[in-house]
Amino acid sequence: MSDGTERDAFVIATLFPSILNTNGDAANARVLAQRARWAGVANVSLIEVEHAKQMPRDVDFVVVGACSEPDVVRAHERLAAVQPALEAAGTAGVPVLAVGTGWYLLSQRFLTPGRSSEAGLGLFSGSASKRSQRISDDLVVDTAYGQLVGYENHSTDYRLGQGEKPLGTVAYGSGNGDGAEGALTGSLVGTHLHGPILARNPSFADHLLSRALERTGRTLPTSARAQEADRFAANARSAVTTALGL
Amino acid sequence: MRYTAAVLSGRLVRLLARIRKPGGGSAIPGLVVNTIAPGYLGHALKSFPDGLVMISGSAGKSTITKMVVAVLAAHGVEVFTNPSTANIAQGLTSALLERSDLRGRVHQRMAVLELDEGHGAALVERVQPDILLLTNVMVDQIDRFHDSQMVADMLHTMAEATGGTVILNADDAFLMEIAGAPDVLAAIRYFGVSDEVLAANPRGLGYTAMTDVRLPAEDGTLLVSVAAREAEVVHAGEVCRVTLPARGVHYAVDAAAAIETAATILGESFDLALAAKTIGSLPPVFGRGEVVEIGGETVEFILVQNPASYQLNLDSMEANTEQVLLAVGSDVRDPSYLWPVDTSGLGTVNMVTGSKAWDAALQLVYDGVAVDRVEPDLAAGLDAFLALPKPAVGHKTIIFTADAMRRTRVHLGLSVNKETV
Ligand SMILES: [Zn+2]
Repeated sequence: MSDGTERDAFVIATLFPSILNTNGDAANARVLAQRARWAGVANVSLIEVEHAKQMPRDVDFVVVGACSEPDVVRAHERLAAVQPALEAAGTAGVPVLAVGTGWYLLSQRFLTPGRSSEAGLGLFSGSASKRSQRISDDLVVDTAYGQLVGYENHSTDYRLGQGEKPLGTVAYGSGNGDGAEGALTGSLVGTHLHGPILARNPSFADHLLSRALERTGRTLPTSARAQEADRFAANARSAVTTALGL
Repeated sequence: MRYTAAVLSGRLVRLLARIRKPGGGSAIPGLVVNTIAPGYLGHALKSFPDGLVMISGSAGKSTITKMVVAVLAAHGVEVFTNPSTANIAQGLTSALLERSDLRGRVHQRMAVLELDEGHGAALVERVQPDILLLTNVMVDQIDRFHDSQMVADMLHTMAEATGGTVILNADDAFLMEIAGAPDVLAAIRYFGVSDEVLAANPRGLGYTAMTDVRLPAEDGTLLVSVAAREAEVVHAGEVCRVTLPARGVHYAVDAAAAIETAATILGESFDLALAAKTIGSLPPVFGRGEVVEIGGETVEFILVQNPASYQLNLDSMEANTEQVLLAVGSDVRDPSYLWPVDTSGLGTVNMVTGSKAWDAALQLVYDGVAVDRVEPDLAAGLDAFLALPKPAVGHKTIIFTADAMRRTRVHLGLSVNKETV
């Protein structure tokens, strides 16, 4: 903590899961909490934020899932209500994982259900834009944290903004629409990889978890209990990449 | 004579389709007729002198339709109905063609149709129901094209077009908005569950939004208790017991809906005891709590069709289920399907199999479920699971997705009916 005091809880917040959970993206928060517990991290707490006042002041990880298209405007209002807390988290280096429409809403511009472009919260400097056809397929991305295997379902491209880096390059699928996938800015991660990407890709999960823990002077211990899950994940990934001929 | 040529064309196409794919009915004859004679469907549906009943909503419509049709038959009323695979315009037209004379007329006096929400809303522009039953509004969390309000609006359109009576699920908040709407002129009847039944299902009934208050027994058919396959309903002041075609509170709600609907159709001649007896003698629904004897052992099949039904099925499993196989097939391409569901109640799963076995197992371990074995080859997985010693209590339970169900039935040499293929 900035004031040097010890804080004993490890707090993961998932924002508005009743609407921002179209593809089970909120499960990523459950996955992080479980991996932290398996590694013996003390006092892991998972908070489902449904009202702005439930947003914890001290937070170690924030998960923002995707919403269905008709819910975009409602989700925008809800996220706007926690914008100061999100900005503070970003400034403090707290990892924020934002998926699909949840990511677009945090960018410069998002698309309404009527496909018009509107100003987002601007935490990411890039913008979502229309793509001609909906894509719903496996998405495989080569990144610094290994090859991430997931799924995408969207009709939106993403143009990176000033100072943003992609999460990786597309090995299979569409991603941002230009060969890159996702956006990294500070401790914020935006991606089209929806659903349980952190379960399927534990190397990425542990990278983000370590970062969250290191911020408060902690480390992520290795976990024997995660090994079974990670073996299942490796098989799940290779089932996809083998089928895709990668 | 207007439709003779179209009916003949449809029959010819049907014949050709059957020659190419024996046993396969298909929507193609309906497509052909709907294209060359777009008025045919409305014309045929208007020709039922005793009226037209439509059953729509997100879940339960095929079970309820089968129940209503059987209860009517037990009362001596034979009706035209559509198989659940034909609940959209093309399939419906094909089903009508099967039963119609050359002028396109069907000879039953009444039709009871199961309709998909979207096609139902389109169909009522051409032909209006006399009685409409709306089951519920449930949305697949992963089906982002169908949000709850959109489904509710489509059902509302059907209610506006109804001339006689609309029967609503009193526990579904989206449907109850229809009850108060000024543009709905039909009489309204209800079915619903008691406080006790709801309290026994703390995760709710799977509807997008629940109402705050329960149905007063005098306003319709009320489900007052459910225990395994036995339910108790109150209708018009009378209490009766019903044996369900499968275990689960949603089948009990379906039975209450079917009783209210049959009573509305039959009026004075409705016999509650006869209705309950008829529902109790329906064959178990394929893959839905269906109990099968395999190698001298009892095995229960549970079909999951979407995340909501996965959750409901898990929640209604017997507490002492000690041997479970989960089979997830290629119909679940996107593993996100598995993750909105809380599977922690399973405790231990003995075998996870099917082409998406690793993804399914991954979800289970994050919910704290112990996974004994993962075998992506379905046949090998089934054989190994069935070879396990009989459980000390209860029976083996197989939970599968639609694709895995079809392959399981084929592997075990069990019948595969048209609706499940
Ligand atoms: Zn739908």
